[in-house]
Formats: sequence, structure tokens, C-alpha cells
Amino acid sequence: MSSRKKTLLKVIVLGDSGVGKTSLMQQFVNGKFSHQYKATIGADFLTKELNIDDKNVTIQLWDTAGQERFQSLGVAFYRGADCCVLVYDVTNAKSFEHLGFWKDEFLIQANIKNPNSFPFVVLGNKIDIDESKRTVANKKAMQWCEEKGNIPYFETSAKEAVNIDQAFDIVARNAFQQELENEAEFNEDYSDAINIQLDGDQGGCAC
Amino acid sequence: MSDQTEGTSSPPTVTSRVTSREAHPEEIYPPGSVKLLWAKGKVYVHPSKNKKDNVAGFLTLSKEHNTTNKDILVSFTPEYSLSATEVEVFNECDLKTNVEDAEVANLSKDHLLMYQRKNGTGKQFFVKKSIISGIGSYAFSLPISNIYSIQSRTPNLGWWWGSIIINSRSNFEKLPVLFFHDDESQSTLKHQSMKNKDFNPFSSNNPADLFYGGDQFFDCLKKYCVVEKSSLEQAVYLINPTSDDLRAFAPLNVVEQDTTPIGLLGDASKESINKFLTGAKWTILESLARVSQLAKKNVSTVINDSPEPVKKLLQRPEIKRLNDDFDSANIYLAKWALSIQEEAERNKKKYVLDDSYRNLLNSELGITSIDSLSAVELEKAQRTKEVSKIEWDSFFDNAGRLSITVGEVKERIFHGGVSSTVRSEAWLFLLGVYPWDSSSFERKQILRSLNDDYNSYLSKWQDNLEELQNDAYWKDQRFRIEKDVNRNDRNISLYKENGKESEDDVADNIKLNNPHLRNLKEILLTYNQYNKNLGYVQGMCDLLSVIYYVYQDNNISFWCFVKFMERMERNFLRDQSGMKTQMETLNQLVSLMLPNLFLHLEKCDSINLFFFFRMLLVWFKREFMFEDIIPLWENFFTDYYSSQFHLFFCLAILSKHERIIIEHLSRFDEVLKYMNDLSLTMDMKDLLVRAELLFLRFRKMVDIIDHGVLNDKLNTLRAEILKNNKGKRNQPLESSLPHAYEVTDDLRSLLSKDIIIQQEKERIEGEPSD
Repeated sequence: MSSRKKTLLKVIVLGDSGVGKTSLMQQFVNGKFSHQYKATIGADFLTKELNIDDKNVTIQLWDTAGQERFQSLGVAFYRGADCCVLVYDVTNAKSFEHLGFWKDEFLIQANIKNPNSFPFVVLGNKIDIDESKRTVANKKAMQWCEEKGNIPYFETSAKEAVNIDQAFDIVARNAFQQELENEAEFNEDYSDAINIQLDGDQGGCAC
Repeated sequence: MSDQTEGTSSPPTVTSRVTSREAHPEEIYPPGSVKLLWAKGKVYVHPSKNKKDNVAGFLTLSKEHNTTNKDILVSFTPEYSLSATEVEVFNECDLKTNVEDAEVANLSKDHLLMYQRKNGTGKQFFVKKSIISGIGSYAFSLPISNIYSIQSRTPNLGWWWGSIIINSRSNFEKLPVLFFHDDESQSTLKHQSMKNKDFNPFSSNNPADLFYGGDQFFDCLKKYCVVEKSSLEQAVYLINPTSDDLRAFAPLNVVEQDTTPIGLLGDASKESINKFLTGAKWTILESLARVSQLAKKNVSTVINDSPEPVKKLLQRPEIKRLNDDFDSANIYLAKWALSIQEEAERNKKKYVLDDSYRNLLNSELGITSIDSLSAVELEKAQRTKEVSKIEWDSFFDNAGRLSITVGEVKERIFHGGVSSTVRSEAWLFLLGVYPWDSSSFERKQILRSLNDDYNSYLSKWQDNLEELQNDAYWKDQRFRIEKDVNRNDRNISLYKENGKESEDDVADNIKLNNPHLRNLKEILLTYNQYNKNLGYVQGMCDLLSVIYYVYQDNNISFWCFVKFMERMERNFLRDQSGMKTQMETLNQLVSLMLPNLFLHLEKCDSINLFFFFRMLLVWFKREFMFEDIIPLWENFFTDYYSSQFHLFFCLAILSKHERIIIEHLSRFDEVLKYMNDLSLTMDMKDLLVRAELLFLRFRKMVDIIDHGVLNDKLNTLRAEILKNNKGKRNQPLESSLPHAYEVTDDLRSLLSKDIIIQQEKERIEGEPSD
């Protein structure tokens, strides 16, 4: 039975308004960048089919509004998450300082059982912008991630598609690992919520 | 659903006793068996492009004892599930029913008698029913009564094998395409050679029609049911069609009656496609829905097998685009279903009389019972012409004072909107910048004083920039505004990149490259100054963007925005209480007005109606283009029926998509995605009409409830229940008896035209932003 279940990996993307959450997701999923993305209101998600070690999985990336007050309604989205991506803008020091806030907010809202082992990935976005405007040093970010339990860290440019696939590959792998653990934990009751039933290669059967 | 591999590894379903015997007039059926009426071997299912995967089997017609023709089973039984003896019986039946019977039919009377003396009236074939209705992979069996239509594709250059698709009436089955491998079928080969012998080049039969095994299936099927060829879609045969089916598929005779004036030919052909779509849509959708659990590639198989008009529709870019955002088969199908439905409805509106549309609305809203709406009310629900400049001017006397009632003006605007030449003035009234009873002279004065006021708020921050640079809150707010302004509606020409970046302030975080965006920023910063407790919150930029678009003047835009924000402030509160209240009210409204959908949403974990968050926060700004959002807001500004008419607009959206949501979406994320993706696809005017009807219906319901119209009936009902249970040991509990419904305060608030004002709590100086 389980071999026919398609694994759905739920990933929440968080971070200050304007750091490029929507752009990162669009670049990863649709391979495009636009200056016309508006501020996200409410929540939305994009999905992409991936192959991890010969397993087909669907990654579902959740995008939410960056202003804090809108997070209070976001509980519904956080439930069942397998990985959380924290994004900041390397030219915006505040957005980096807020990473801790977003991390805690997520752990509380998502009601994560084992906060210490839950996978996070940190992305420092907008590295395409001139170096002179950069306000968060690579070293500083690396250090923070190390202190928080060796969180994987990537510097990305959604605009120029730098490091996007590499970063999301780690996101997907870590989410997959987490999903396996979740699955083992809530084997029966919750399996419906976290798996899509897809009858793989069936050619159309009539029963 | 069974797995492919399970089928091949499992043993044949039965090792049955196969009987072939001489027929007797009274027809004795061995117990548990069916009589094979027809069989055709070497019919294949092609699960993949790979030949190796092909599954050979028998297509059969069979009948159980004492059943009618409608119950005759059409079945496909894979060879691998049959024993050698069983295959033999099927083959024998194949040869007899397809070749011998035809030969016999060609015999002269004398020869026929001779033949019968020698062979009896004909062999009959019985097999265990369990073989026919086996549930192995690819096997299927369904009675004729469950078949809606059959598509037939004769072999041609592109298609080596002829094939058929059986479309079941049931929602659950998508049957595989059956390919007739004529070159492998003995009976077909024999029949072909027979035919070739008799080939008459002067026959009226179309010689282009290549004979294939499927023809024999249809020939036999016709003995037991009505097979009606659709003239619109050549390859579709309707099985025992109802009169509705016939109309939808417009068989030859109907089309011929339907003569159209020559000048309208273009439209007429469109209409027939539309007729087809209208009739066929649910069939197609249902067949699509059936594969929703299967893999994506099967969806495309279905689409490839779709009738031509549908294929054409699918090639349209907006529908193709749906593919790009493919999320799961269900969402895809739901969207697809909607696009077809809308296409059909749009065309319908063009061609069908208004009365029909009204009837459609009526029946959809279920207005037949005690809470029905009167025809007069319905009439009013139609959208009317927009208010022109001449009409607008006629509302005022010489002194520029309104000479009709405010209610009359609002009624006109609510139902028709205003023309663009009237808008800038009308909105000043609607938003409350101008009092309705003002004269032209007073209005001029108001404008002048507003200009002064704006400048004073403006200078409050502009003159103190240096000082404010040290205020963390202010800096945060400015950055927030800049970020949102910079990505505001960059797709419309007014806000596109235009000219140089501003150099007026070196402290800017973001240089805006459009003068209008710089104006938006100025206005928002001034509002941040004006309403210090609330400040700027994400989403406000969307609201201002529309107002600014109408005025393109900072002063007037600012004051209109201020007035607009009075009612919108509750959407932006830090504790989100205003949004929660609206979502809760909407929730109650849905449970009252759309109970079936409510139950379904409950099952989908979507009862929080979170998917309305964006729509509510910025009043559908992200769901419509400017050309629609302006008249929509204009309508809301009137508060003609309710100051929360936007909630009825939400209800209208739900009611429009009710069926699709219920039938296709079953999870929280699916519902959310579906609703989010409605953005830029909805028909604003249609929804406004629906919203109005729903409001009127709601008002009537509240009226009925409040006036206790139903109380007598309710009491009688309660008394009856109690009476019936008199003396019984288990008396019904009070809570289990029917109760009167009480209208909640939240719902009652929907009947008020007064704007709900909820303000942000005082902000403590030095507190961080958000």
C-alpha cells in the first residue's frame, strides 16, 4: 500500500515582508522571476514534483504574508509541516535579526513535537544586489545557523536563479526525512492528511 | 482500484464449468451463469505506449436469466483471467455471432432450413457470471442501462486499430479505451473477406468507412437498445438516450429543423458547439472526475480522447495555462470543469433569452419554497445602465443640491454604477467627503479646506525628516510602505516603470522609478501620520492604488482614502479581530444559506473560510482587474442594502462554485488553492446579481424567522412528535425536537446599512512596528 502513496512534503516559507519569499518559490517551481509580484496577502502554495533518491515526491511550498499581525491566522497552514524555510534579505539587517522570531513563531504555531530535531533551512536572498549594499555578512549568518543547531544555510538570488535548486534540494531532502519520521509517528490516523493517494501507473481500471 | 501487477500475478477468477448446449425454447440457464449474446476476441487495452503492456481480452454482451435488455452486460474480460476451456468458449461464440450468424442470415430460405436441420437453431454459450464480472485489472462489466454513450474511432492512417470508449453514466468509472486488433481476430478477418466478396462499388454505403471489429459490436448492440448517432460529434453514439440527451447532442433531425438566417451563420455554428458543450459538459466532466484519483497522464489521455470542440477549448491559452500550475488532479479537474461550465454559460447568455437566465438563477437559488423572491424583486436584481453625466447632472438643482433622495441615487449606482466621467465626483459623495445635502458652493469650500489640511499633515512628516530618521517605528513604517509601493500593480500602465528614480531623499531605502508610485508613498506616509495608532499595514497600498487611479491627485486621493479607511480599518487591526468577526459572520451566513456546501467545507477542514482572507482584506482587489474592481467598490460604497454587502459577494462566489467544490475538492489545501486561483477569472457582474439575490433571500428568511411565520407549523410538528411518543418509555428529549432558528447578532448586523467602525487601540510610543 505505502509504495503507491505519493509523498507530500509540506514546507513553510517564512520571513519578513519583501525578502523575496514569493520570488524564491516562483524561481524554484516555475523557473521565472518577475518584478510584478505583489505583496502576498493571506496564504498560497505552489507544488513541484521532485525525485529524491528515486522516490517521487511532491513538495508543497507555503507562502504567507510577511507582516507579523497576519501570522495569527496562519496556524492552519503550519499544521503538518515537514520543513520550515527561513528567508532574509542580505541587504536588510532587520530581516536577518528577525529570523529568530520567525523560527520561534513557527515552532509555537505549528505545535512541533521535537523542536530540536525539526528541520529548518535558512536562505539569505538577494545576493545579486551590489556587494556595497550588503549589510549581513556571510560569516554572521553562518554563525547564527551554526548556533541554532547547524541549520543548513544558502545564499541565493531568486532574480538570477543562484543556488535555488541546491537550496531546495536540501529543503526537500530534510523534509522527506522529517516526513518519514512523522509518518512512523502518526502512522494511521494522520496518514490521510499528509499523503496523496495516487494510483501510480495505472492505465485505467474499472473496478 | 486494483494494481496492475496484482492482476497478472493472481490466478484466474474462477475455474468454472463452462456449458455450451443446444438451446431450448424455454432457455434453461445453468445456475450462476449468463448467456453470451456476442463476443469479440483480440480486443485490447493499451495501458502504455509499450506494446508489451497490451492486455488482450474479450468484449462481450451477455444476459442473465429473467432480465431485460437494459440489464444486458457489456463486459471486457482479459484473456489472462480465463482458463483455456473458457477462452475456447469465448472464441467459439466470437466466430458464431460474428461470422456464422451473418452467413446464415445470407442463406436463402431453403438453405436456412437445411442448415438448421443440420446444426439446430444455433449453439448457445453460457459462462459463469463471475467470469464476466471478474474484478481483475482492466476487467469491467456494466449493464447497458449504465452506458451513456460510446465513442467509436474507425481505423485510419493515424490509428492502425479502431477503438471504442464506453462512457458510463456513473461518476465513479472511467473505462479504458478498447482497441480492436482486427488483424488478430479470426472472426473479423473472416467477416472482412466476406464483405470484400460482396463489395459493391456502387453501394450507397460510404466506401470510406472502413470496417472494423467495433462495427460488429455496434451491430449487435443495436439489437438490444437504441443507438443514436450524434450528428454534432460524428464519433459519439448515445445509448438509450433521453430526450434531453438528444437535444444536447442535436441528432440530425433536430439540427435540420434548426435553420438559421444566413447572416448569422458564424454565430450559429458557435451556437451548435455551445449546445454540444452545454449538453456534453457534465458527461465529459464526469468522465474526467472519474480519473481524478489516477495519475496525471491519464488525465491527458482523457483530454486527448475528448471530442473536438473540447479539444479546441483546451488549446486556448488561458486553459492551457492551468497546466502550468498543476497541483493535483483534483484541482486541475475542478478548474477545468469550471472553465468549461463558464464557457458554456457565457455563450448561453448570449443566445438564450433573459427569462431563461432568470429561471436558471431561480432554480439554482431554489426559490420555490416559502422564502421565494417575488418577480418584482428579481426584476430589480438585473444590472442596469451606468449613470451617465447627463443623468448625474439631472439629480441636482441649480444650486447643485441633490433634488432626488439619497436612496434613489444609491439605488441607481448600486444597480448600474456610474460612468467614468461621473466617477470622481460621485465617489466623493459615496465616500462621505462631500455631504449629500451640500451645494456646489459648499463643496468648493470643502475641497479648499481639505487641501490645506492635507498639506498640514504632509508637512508634519516632511518637515521633520531628520528627526524621524531616528524614530525606529517611523523608519520601519516607511520601509514597509516603500516595499509595498514598489511592487504595487506594476502591471498596469499608470504604475509601470516611468522615468528616473527619485533622488529627492537620500535616506530612501528603495528608489521608486514611477512618479505615481512616489505619490502613493507620499499619501501613505501622510496617512501613517494622520492615523498614528493604525499606521500603515500591508494591504492598504492596494486600497489606495485604486482610489489614486481614479483621481491621480494626492490631496483628493488622500481624503477619499481616509474616508474609505474608516470602514476598512477593522480589517487591519493588530489583533485581527475585525477580520475574524467578518469571517465568523460569513461562516454563519454560509451555514444558513448554503447548508450543503457548509457541510462539505466542514469535512474539508475549511470551515474557517480562510480562503476568503485576501478577498475580504482588500475587497477583492486581487481577484479583479481595475476595470472591474472600480465598479465593484462603487457598488459596495453605496451601502444600499447592507454595509457588509461584500460578505454577500463572498457568498455569491461560493454559491457559484458550490457544486464544483462539493464534487471535486476534498482537502483544505485543495479548497484554498482553488479559491486563490479564482483570481482574475470571475465575472464580477454575474456575481453582483447573485449577491443581490442572495441578500434579498437572506433578508426574507430573517423576516420569516423574526415574524414567527413558521412557529405554528413548528408547534404542530412538535405536538405531533410528542403525541406519537405518548406512553412510550423513551420520551424524546427536548433537544431532539424541532426548534425555531434564532438569527444571531452577527447575521442581524448584515441588515444594517451603517458602516461598522472599529479602530486600532492606542499605540504606545516606542513600541515596535507591526
